[in-house]
Amino acid sequence: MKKNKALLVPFVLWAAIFIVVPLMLIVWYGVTVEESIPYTEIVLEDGTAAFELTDGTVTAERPQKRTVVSLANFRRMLEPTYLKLLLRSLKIAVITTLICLLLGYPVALILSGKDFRRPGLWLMLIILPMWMNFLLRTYSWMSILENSGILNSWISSLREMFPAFDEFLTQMGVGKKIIFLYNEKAVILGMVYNYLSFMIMPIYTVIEKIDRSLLEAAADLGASPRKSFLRVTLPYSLPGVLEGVTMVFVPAVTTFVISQLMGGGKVPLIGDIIQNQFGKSSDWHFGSTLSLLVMVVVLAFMGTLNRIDKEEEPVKEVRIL
Amino acid sequence: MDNVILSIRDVRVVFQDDGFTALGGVSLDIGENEFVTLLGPSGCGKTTLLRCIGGFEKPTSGEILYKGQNIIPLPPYKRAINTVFQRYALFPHLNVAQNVAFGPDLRGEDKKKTAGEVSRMLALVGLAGFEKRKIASLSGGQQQRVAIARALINKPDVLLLDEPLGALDLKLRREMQLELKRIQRESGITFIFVTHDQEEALTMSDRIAVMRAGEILQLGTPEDIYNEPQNAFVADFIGDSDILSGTMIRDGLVHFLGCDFRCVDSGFGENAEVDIVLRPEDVKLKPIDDPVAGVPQGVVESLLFKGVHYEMKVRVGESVLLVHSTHARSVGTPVKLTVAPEDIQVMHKSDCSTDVLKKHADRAK
Repeated sequence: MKKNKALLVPFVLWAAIFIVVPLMLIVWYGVTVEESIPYTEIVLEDGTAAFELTDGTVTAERPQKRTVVSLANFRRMLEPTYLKLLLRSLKIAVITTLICLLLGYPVALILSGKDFRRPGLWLMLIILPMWMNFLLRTYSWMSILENSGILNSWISSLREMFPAFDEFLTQMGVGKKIIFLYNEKAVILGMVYNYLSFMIMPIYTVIEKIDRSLLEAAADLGASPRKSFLRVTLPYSLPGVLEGVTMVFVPAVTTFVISQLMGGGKVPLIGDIIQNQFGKSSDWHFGSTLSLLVMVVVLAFMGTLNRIDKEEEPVKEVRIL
Repeated sequence: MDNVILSIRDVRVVFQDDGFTALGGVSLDIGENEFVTLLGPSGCGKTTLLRCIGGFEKPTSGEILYKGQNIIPLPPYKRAINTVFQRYALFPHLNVAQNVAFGPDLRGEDKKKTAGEVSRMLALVGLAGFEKRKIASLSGGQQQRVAIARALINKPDVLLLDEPLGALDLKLRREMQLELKRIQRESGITFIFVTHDQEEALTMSDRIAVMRAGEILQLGTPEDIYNEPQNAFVADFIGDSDILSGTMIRDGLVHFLGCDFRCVDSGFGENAEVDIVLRPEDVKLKPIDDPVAGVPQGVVESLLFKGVHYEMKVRVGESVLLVHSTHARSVGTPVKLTVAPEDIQVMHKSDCSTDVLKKHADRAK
C-alpha cells in the first residue's frame, strides 16, 4: 500500500503545480484590480525631480501601479453586456448539445444493434476526422460555406443547369450568393461537427454493454421493441447520455475559436471576451473574473447532472412519447 | 396424448454463419401441466430448442404448434409463453417488485391489483417482504426466485426454464427442485425445463427427452429412461452404469463377461452383437466360496464410502464394474458377481456405442 502511495507523488506534484497554483492565481487575479497611485510631481530644493504622494511621503522613484483587492470586476461582470454574452454562450451550448444528442443517440443505437455488421469500421469513420487538427477542420467548413465557397458554387452551377430550380430559389427570395457563414447557425454547425463524436462514443459504449438477455427478457414479458427501448435501453443508456452531454456542453460553453472563425467576430461568446482580456485588452484581472464566472456556471451544470445520475429512485421508464 | 398444448414438429435449426446443425429435426408433443425436461450434455441443442419455443431463435424448418396454431412467425412478446433465463436476466435498474411487475405493467394492469399480485408471487417463491430490495443485494438463489416470480405473474400456459438452478449450491438446488415441482403442480402450468443434470431431471420431470447432437434419443418417464435406456448413450448419461459389450445368444440368453446370463429381453435374433447396461446397485457380490456356479469372478479393486452405500470397483478379467452395496468388501477380496435376469438391460448397438464403451473400458486402466 505504501509503495502504491509513492506512485501517486508525481501526480500530486503535477496537480499542485499545474492545477492548484494556476487556479489560485486566477482567483487572486479575479478579486484584485490594478490601481494607479495618485501623486504630484515636485522639484526638490536641489533641483532634482521627485514625487509626492497624497500622504505627504516623497520618493525619488515615479510611483508604480499597485494591486488592490476589489470587487469592482465582479460589478463590471454583472453589466448587461457581459451577461448577454454569457446567456448567448449558454444558449448556443444548449442548442449544440441538443442537436448532438438528437443526431448522436440514434447513431449510437444503430451501431450497437446486434444485426449491425462491422460497427468498428463505422466508429473509426466517426473518430477519424477528429484526428485531424481542429483548426483545419473548421477552416474546411469555412471554405465550403463561404460566399465564394464550394457549396455556393455548386448551387450556382445547379441553377445554371436547371432554370426551374433557379426560378424556384428566386421566388423563395434566395439571393445569388447564400450567406452561410458569420451567424449563430454557422457557429452551431461548427460546434456540432466538432463535438458530435464526443456524444456518440459514451452513448455507444453504454448501449453496447447492455446484456442482450435483458432485451430478450423484456420481449419475453411482452414488451414490443418500442416498449423494450423505453423501458430497458433508454434508462440504461442514461449514464452515457449524461457523460456525452457533459463532454459536449462544457467545451461548447467555453470555446472561442469556433465562434471567431465560423462567426467571423459577429457572434462573440463569453470565451471570446475572456480571450480578449488576456490578449488585446491585456486586463488579466477582468479576464480572470469572467473565467471564474464561467467556471461557476459549468460546475453548477455538472452538479445538476450528477444529481440526476445518482437519483435514489431508479429510473423505471423514460417517458418521451 | 390428450390435451397437447405444445407440439414441436420436425424442428430443424441450422446456424447461418457456420452451417452448424443445432437441431436436426426434433418432434415432441407436450401435454397440459406436464413437466418435461430436455436433458443432454452442453451443445446437444436443448437450449436452442427452448429458444425456438420462446421465440428467440427462428427454426430453419418445421412447426411449433401452440394450441394448434403455428407460433413460429410470432415474436416473443406475442407468445403466451414466459421464460426463466439461465442467468436470470433481471433488470438491475428496477427493484424486486418492479421486476416482478414488469409484465403486468406493460399490459397496463391496475397498479393496486398488480402490487397485490406481486406480493402473492413473492410469497409463493419464498421471498415475502423483499419488494423494495435491489437486485444487486440478492443472492443467486433469491435472484433465481425473483426470475421465477417475474415469469409466473403473467400466468403463462407454458413456462420455459433454461438451466435455472445451475448457479446454485447443491443444498439450495435440491430445495428449489422441490419448490419448482410444487409450484408447477399448484399452478397447473406446463414446465419445459432444460438441464444437463440427470439427477435434477429424474427428480422433477414427468417425462424426460434425452438429447444428443441435435436429436432426441429417448423420450419417456424418468423410470423408463433409467431402467430401460434405449442405447448406450442414454444409459451412460443417466445415472451410474456399467456398460459392456455382449452377444445375444438367443431370446432370453445373453453372453458377457465370459459367462451366459438369463435375461428377459428378446427379439434381437441369434448371436447378435449388443450393448449391456447394468446398474451398479443391481450387481450383487457373493463370497468366492458361494456355491452359485457359472457366474463371473472378480477381485475388489477399490472401496469408497458414499453415505448411503459403498461404491466398489470390481475387476473381472479386462473389465472393471462399478458396484453399489450396503455391504463393504475390503480391497483385494475375491468375489462372485450375480445379476437378476430382469436387471440386465440389453440394447442394440448404436453409433455412440464405441465412444461409451471406450469410456467405460478406460475406467479399467
